[in-house]
Amino acid sequence: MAMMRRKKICKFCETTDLKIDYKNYKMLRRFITEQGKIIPRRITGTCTKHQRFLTTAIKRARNIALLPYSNNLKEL
Amino acid sequence: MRYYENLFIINPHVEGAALETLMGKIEKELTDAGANLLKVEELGKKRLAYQIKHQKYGAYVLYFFESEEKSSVRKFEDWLNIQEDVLANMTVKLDEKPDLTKATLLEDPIVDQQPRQER
Repeated sequence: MAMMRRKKICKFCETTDLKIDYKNYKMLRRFITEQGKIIPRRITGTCTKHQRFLTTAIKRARNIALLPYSNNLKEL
Repeated sequence: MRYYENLFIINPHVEGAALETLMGKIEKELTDAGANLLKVEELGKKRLAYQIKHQKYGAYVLYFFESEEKSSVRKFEDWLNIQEDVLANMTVKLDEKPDLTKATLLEDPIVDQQPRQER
């Protein structure tokens, strides 16, 4: 039996007024795991172009302590 | 003319008059370096994602500025890096002239669902 899979759509292509900015870290938090890793494109459905912008934004946010580089789950 | 923004974090224990003098000093340093300050935005105190210089909280400040010379940015950053009360700073070059009328929010509410996790 074939699994029915919903087609994934890139959020940033869908709504053009949604800008990817490193300062908007609450939005970026949706694209990282609990551990702080960047979630791959194949899971979130983001297109190549926007994923590229996302990774830069996340890395910038990490640099200025808006997002963690890593979260040790054992400590929580 | 190139446009830049610099987001830096000030030690949260610096308050009142000490904060004002520090902000004055930073502004002066930027203009001395040859850049033209366009806008200052204080984004408030926040919990840092990780500790910097043993601080858990920090006051975020955002500067918009323009400059002809790349070296002035470098000069300003180098100066900020050696300031004890500035925990961290980062300069980003902007592609276009920033919209100075809009206020920047560190917490931009976006009504959206979490990306669907498979498996």
